[in-house]
Amino acid sequence: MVKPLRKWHIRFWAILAVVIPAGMVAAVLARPQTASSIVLQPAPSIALPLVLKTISKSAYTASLRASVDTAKLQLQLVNKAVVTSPTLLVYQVGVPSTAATGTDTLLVGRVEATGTYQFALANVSAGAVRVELYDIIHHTLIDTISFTYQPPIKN
Amino acid sequence: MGAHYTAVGWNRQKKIYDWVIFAFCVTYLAVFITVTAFANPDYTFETALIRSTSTLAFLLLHVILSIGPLARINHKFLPLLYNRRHLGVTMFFVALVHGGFSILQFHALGNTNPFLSLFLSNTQYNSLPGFPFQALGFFALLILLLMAATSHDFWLHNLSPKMWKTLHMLVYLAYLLIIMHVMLGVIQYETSPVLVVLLALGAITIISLHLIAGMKEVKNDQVVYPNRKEGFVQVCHINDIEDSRAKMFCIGAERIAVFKTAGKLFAVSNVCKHQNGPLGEGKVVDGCITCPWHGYQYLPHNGQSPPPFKEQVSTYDVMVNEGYVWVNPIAYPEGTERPGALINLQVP
Repeated sequence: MVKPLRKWHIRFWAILAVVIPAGMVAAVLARPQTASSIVLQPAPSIALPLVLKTISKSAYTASLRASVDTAKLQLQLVNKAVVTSPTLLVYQVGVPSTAATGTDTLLVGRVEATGTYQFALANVSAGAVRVELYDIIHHTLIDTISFTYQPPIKN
Repeated sequence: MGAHYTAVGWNRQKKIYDWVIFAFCVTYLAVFITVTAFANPDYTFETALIRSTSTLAFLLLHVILSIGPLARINHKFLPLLYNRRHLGVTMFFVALVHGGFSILQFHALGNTNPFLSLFLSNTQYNSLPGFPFQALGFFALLILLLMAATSHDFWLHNLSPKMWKTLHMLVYLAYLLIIMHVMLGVIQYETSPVLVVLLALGAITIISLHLIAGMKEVKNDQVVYPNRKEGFVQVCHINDIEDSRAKMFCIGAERIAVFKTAGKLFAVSNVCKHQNGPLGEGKVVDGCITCPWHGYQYLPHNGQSPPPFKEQVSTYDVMVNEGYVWVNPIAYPEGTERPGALINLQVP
């Protein structure tokens, strides 16, 4: 390199040494607080035994499942169609807001292809669970699944 | 070095270099896609291809950006510089596969033109977490396309080395765009710290290497030579220069390389005509000063490339006085023959 380019080179990298870390920190801080699950490679989970409600559509079948004591809730999503929104994220809406999250929306998982997915849900007030399918690239709400069900009577 | 533009003759080193690049890329993609197929059998091939090519291109970009500063910090890395352009073009094609399949998968299924959809499907340009990160990747790919398309010596010759080098420094902007493409893309919905940590480690490494190498160059440029006499500047002792090698001194507008060969000292411009490589970091091979970057050669006594080649660099007057080397920083026209300075007779 000639002398002027050598000067530009180190000036450029001095600027990048500030801009790149600043951009990375800002991007991490800007992440939606709803992202509370590791969704890149979701861990396989076992379907809970009780089926509280099932909604069937052409593209998918969604079931709200629960543990025997209904303390744990789970969304089982059987995706039947090719996903045309590959960044399809699944959010649970209406969860209790905490100081940490500051929101009533919880990211519970990600749908990548056809197949069966099980996502743990937050336990909410009995009888109603609402889930949204959201395309993060196009920032488009794909679908809303609302489960209303009669909780099992506890002895 | 070429007198005219012909197909590049692949010597053994070039072939080995290219085969290593090819084997690495194929192995990486095969392993990534195979592991994905077993770990997540529901994933489509397109998804695995998009992810594998993105990580491979990013990895190659880190290697490419490391080679320059590493070669300036330690000359043992110079052989990596020899064929860096092939690595760059390979990286572009891998990134092109990533970009092409991403546009197909994410934007080609609707009624809108995929390229319009890329910019208009998400218009949250005033939001950091919602920023259309794919646009950043698109512009980075455009820069890489520009670089790959002009990587041939034809463009180097026609644009001039200075302009070509300036143009190819846009890769640093592409690096910034790609970092933000990842940070505002996958990182926004991935809370595992692994990706962020890997990105940060990569960025710290690249930035550190470039700053260290850059500061070393600035330090060399700022050395003051106080002893001056009748237009000559005392630069070093003759024993400071190894035989068939050179030392570089920034005593004028540009660096001067003083070579010791065949019992004499010769001073020429340090700037190679090919890619402005540092001639002073090369050595004398077969009686010719040989650039360490791509092997361009010049005769020490006149700065001319041996026939039939046409390249020429400036020459300078050099003399030896009481064992010290003195150089006159006023350049002669490129290709001017100078007698050099005899060493043996004048060493005290």
